[in-house]
Amino acid sequence: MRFRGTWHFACAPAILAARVFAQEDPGAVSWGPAADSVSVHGYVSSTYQFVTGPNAGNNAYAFSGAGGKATRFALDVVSLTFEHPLNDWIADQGFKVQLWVGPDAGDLKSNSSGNNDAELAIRNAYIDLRIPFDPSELAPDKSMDLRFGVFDSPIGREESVDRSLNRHFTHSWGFTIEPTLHTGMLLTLPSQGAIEDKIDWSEPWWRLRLGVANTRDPRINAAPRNANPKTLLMNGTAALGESFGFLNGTEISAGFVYGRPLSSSDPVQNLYLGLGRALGEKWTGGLAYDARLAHGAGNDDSVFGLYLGRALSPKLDLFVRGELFEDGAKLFENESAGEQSDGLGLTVTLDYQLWENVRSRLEWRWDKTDTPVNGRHHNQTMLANLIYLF
Amino acid sequence: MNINKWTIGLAAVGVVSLSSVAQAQEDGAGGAAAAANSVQINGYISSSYRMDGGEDIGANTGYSNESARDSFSLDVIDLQIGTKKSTADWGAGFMVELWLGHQAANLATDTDGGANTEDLAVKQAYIDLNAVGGVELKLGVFDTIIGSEVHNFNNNTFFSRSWGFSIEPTTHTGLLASYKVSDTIGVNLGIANTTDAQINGTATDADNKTVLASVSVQLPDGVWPWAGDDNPASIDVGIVSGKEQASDTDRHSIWAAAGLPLPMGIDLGLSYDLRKNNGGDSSNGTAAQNLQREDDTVLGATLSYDISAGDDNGVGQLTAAIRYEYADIPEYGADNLGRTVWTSGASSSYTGDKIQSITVGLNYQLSESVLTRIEYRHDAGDGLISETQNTADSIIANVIYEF
Repeated sequence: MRFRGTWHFACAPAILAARVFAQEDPGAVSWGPAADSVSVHGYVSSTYQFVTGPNAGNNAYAFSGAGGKATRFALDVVSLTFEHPLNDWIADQGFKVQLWVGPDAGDLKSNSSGNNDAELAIRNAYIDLRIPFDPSELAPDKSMDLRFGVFDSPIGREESVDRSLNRHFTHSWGFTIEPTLHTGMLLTLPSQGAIEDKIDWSEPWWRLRLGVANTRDPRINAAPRNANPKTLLMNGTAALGESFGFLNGTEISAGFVYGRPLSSSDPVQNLYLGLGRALGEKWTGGLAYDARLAHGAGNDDSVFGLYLGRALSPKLDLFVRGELFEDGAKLFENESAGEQSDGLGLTVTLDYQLWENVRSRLEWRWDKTDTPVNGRHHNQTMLANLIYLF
Repeated sequence: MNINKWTIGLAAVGVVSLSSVAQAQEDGAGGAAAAANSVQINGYISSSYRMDGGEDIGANTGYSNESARDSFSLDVIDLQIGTKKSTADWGAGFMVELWLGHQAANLATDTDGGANTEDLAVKQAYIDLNAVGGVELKLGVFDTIIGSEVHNFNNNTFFSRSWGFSIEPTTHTGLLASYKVSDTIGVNLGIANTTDAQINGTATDADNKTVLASVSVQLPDGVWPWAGDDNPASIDVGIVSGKEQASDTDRHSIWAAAGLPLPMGIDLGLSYDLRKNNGGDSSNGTAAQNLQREDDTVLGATLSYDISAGDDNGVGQLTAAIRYEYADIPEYGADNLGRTVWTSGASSSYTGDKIQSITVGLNYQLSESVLTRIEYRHDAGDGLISETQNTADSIIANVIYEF
């Protein structure tokens, strides 16, 4: 018989000994010739959401689960990444393949066949090339990076699709109206070399990204009916220096995406503006503005966000996000015409590192809309989230 | 806490947390980096050939994970990715287990609850945690805590699944706590969304949860005369009680088993499965094949004997085993795996009544990584396959490569 749990008693005739983790060899991973330079990492995310009643909860922002995670234990997603990142300052090659497995995989909407019910989706898959501007003058700040394939949209507050990287588990309204993934090409121009963890942070710093993609939508390899007009991607980010006076130490970012969705021949524009800075030793603050400009009068969405964070202890952080939003054309996922509504939202998150390699969070979110959405003016959710990072 | 400027900027506008980044940075070789270094990838590939005896019966026998008739099969590719958590307080690990291939759909874990036709399915995905007082926690999707057999082909004595397994829950989404009371007693206690495998699924009223509980006891010396230190006797009892997926129908699964060494190196395993169906209507919430609202009951006995012990790594081990079951499972025929109900005149027969099953198998460990086996299975019961087909026979050859 089988004894459940982590101990084993009799080896009963019905069950052979499990071989999970039976191998003592730590080198259980065996790859091809480039094996030693390929890293494997990822995370497992699981939550429990509490809502205030039937059909309650905030189910309209991006990747919310559309109510399918309310009042239950939920596996969100398993993320698996295989990559060889750029390392050399001057010339190098690299790649990244990131897969999502599980219930949230379909939310990426990246399936090339348009099947958004699949339990496996490609999150990123690209090749990186680092090329010197002028081979006769090699220097760390004289190279550019070219990325080909499927990659994250370069605009935004860099609130990632990966919740493991974000302050809050739930996504913001600003993120909801931003593009997420593109299939295309992206050029990155760094000022001091593109290896972020080796940048000299005492000096002002900037980065410019320019790209072109098939469409503003995330579906891999898809293009609008007329595939010739491409989608333009632009983003500039800078850390301001002493010459900017009181803005010294402030990071600013601006981004713009112009292109067609798959479903329309009319282009949509996304504009993003953001700034952030440390406020003393324990506080951080930031502002963000998102606008999505769609064809036709009254179809523009905009979101203004305020962010605060405080380190309460070496292991405990408090984060607060407030947003004001104006809904022009489907700010909310799956909204009806009668639900187009302005409103505001507040999210408070406690992040405590209780276990090694695990992010553990408690979060409360409140959204108020002028017009009922999902039948309610006020929607609240409280959730507990654990993410194991490996 | 040394945080680089870019991180502060990202942190200010919504990405990453201060402490989590600091932890990752300061740990250097620790934290996620250290966890990545200890990530292991294991799994297996299973392939088989099934030959059916007699005339083509034209239908499945109906037990779980049944392979295709008279066919070569790639059964499944199993991938397990995870880290072993440390034994220290507040240690953490994870496990992700995926099934790829034809049998993936049999897990029935697809979150959309559709026809389960995908060739990729999540079998397990959980975070493994140590809590206070020696309690171990699993949060996410995990294997059920009851039953004498499991989904994984390489962890069972026989290739074909028992009828007992066929009526048991298999996978849950929830929270499970495990505790070792002593060297001889272990307990599990958990809470899950439902009794069913669909990931993130709930009952009609999501507030209704499913309770999981089990106890494992190694019998003290002297209780069983042929038990020894290296081959103790043991008893397991477990229960899974709750609601079915997207339903208000109660379902209670009770399991009891004993592992009893016998003389001459023979091992005896006994098992009892009871699935109580307490639906509000006469059909138990499924279909009108169980008008008496009878429960599903399976009694099983397995004998095994190592003909050859093999070397220190188990290579060359040859094991013979025989499994007998008596299964009274009228409800099973209504809601499972392609078995049909047939009527004759004014009366109806319910497939699943009074099935007797015997399986005889030989397992041979060809190498450290390769397990081979061959088995013969005979099932018999009134209307087992059709109005005129009461028996089913098959011979199955199976090869498993473990890595």
